[in-house]
Amino acid sequence: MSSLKIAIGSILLRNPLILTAGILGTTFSSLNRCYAAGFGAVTTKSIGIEPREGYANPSVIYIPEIDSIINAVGLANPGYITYGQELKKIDSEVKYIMSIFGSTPDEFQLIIKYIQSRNLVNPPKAFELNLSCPHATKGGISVGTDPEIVYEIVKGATSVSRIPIWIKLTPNITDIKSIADAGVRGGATGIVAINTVKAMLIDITTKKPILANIRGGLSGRAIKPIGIHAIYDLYEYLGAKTPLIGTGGIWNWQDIIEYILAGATAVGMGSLLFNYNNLELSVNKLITGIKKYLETQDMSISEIRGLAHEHAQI
Amino acid sequence: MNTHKFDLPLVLPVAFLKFETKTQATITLEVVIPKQYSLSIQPGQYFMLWLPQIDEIPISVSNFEKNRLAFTICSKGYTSKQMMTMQKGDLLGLRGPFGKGFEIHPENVAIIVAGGMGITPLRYLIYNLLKIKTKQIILLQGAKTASELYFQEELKYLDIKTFFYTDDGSYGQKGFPTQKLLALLNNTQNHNELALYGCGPEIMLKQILEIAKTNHIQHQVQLSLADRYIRCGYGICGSCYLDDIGLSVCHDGPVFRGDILEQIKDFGNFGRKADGSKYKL
Repeated sequence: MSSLKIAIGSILLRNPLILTAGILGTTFSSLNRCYAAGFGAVTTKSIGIEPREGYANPSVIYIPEIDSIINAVGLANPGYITYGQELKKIDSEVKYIMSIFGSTPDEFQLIIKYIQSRNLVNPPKAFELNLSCPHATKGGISVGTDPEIVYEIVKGATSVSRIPIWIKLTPNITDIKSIADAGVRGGATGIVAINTVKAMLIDITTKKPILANIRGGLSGRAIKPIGIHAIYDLYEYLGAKTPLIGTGGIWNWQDIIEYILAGATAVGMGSLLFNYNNLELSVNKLITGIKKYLETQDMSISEIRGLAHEHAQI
Repeated sequence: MNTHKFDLPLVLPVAFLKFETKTQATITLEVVIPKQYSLSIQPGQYFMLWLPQIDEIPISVSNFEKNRLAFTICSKGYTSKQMMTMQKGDLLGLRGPFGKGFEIHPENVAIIVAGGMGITPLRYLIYNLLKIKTKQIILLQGAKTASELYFQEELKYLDIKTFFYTDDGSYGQKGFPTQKLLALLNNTQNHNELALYGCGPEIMLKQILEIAKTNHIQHQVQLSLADRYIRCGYGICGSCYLDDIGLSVCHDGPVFRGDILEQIKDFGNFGRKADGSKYKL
């Protein structure tokens, strides 16, 4: 069987499947369980400065018609100091990415410095910057939608971090390339795209929005073509040198191949695990599917990366 | 016939309301599930009950009979208090059923231990056990005081053996149902046919498990942790995971077997809040 080992910059993973931020990542025990199930790496829940309870329910709803999930959890997290305790208990073999959020470059720096000062036996392999927070002063715009703010945040983070900095991009923007460009200029060595797509649901009986927060983000099958488009654009713009983590709507192994053909180095996934029966089996099915495809094509995983672009150039 | 699960809210008018106690601290709400839907609900499973623009809370099914689905609610927080003020015809959203419930077998002698509000999913369990003609059903129900022995008036007339306990001795025997469980197990020769069920304060559940362990029947115990914090119901948001083995209350539970629970260090010790931080139970 062909190897699925990949490198995201200096980070070596046993396979390209990464459990994405916000799914099963609140506790050390669920991260351990997911890694044991076979993921190449797992990502923590996004952690910020202060503890947050998140929004009221309904906050996570599966929409059967489109195999998708709408959520407005509201960055619930125990705060970086408490979460530092959680990280101490992550198994030593688990490769994990720590997702962090903030409103200012200082907040990101504070969290990175604190985590690095903990002398963790198993520290994170990278920090993933969740840029979905509203900006502290710029009238509530999400920090990830302004290239200058993104540049400042990433530059601030890379200046204090001893490990790679990744950024997670929102699709809710006209030009995703300008944000990626700002991130790369700031020193990001991994681009994760995409975060959830703005969405909402209204109940026609009560005539009221269903999510307690009214507005939310969509993940799952419906957003995969949007994610593929983003990765295709980013690969075309940044070239093969920048690692891309294609995320959004992966539901089977074919979707993973599609992301890699578009230009992804690795893939993030999470929504497909809703109502899981057997995590090991679910991950194993994906890995077997990818391996068989590569065998049939007689190619390695790095050889198929970005192949869809060659056809485009004809 | 395929059974339905409501992922998006099914909004129905409340068809029936009844206060379970004179103190009006507990209410049972019923909705009528329209005939086009076929629901199969395991005892111990729960629904998310939605009050638009307020909140949505997980509530165990307290009965499901002839399309009438019942939930019993006590005034624990803001949302449940709002639900207590509902009138017949008010709209309630339902999503579910969620989670894993109790497994039942006719050949068992079922011993059911209930503490306080823990009786609500066990009430539906008892009706299911009666339906499949379980060999014997013994209910050990405890509460702080007589007025909190919910459904006691209803259950004592069923074809089951009942024993009631109150902390203050205001009804039944003064003490805890776990004392009776201990005595029952000591006096039972054949432990193989026993099935132990429990729901209530986690301290009580922990005692049930300890008693079962002393008798080497922890794999015959099923306990509901329905009292714990739950957010998404799908096992994916990660808010309700139990350490160290990483099982979700909302999807892997809320009912767990005793041999699983004995591996869960959080059981009887630590809970998790909505922000993900831990607290001592």
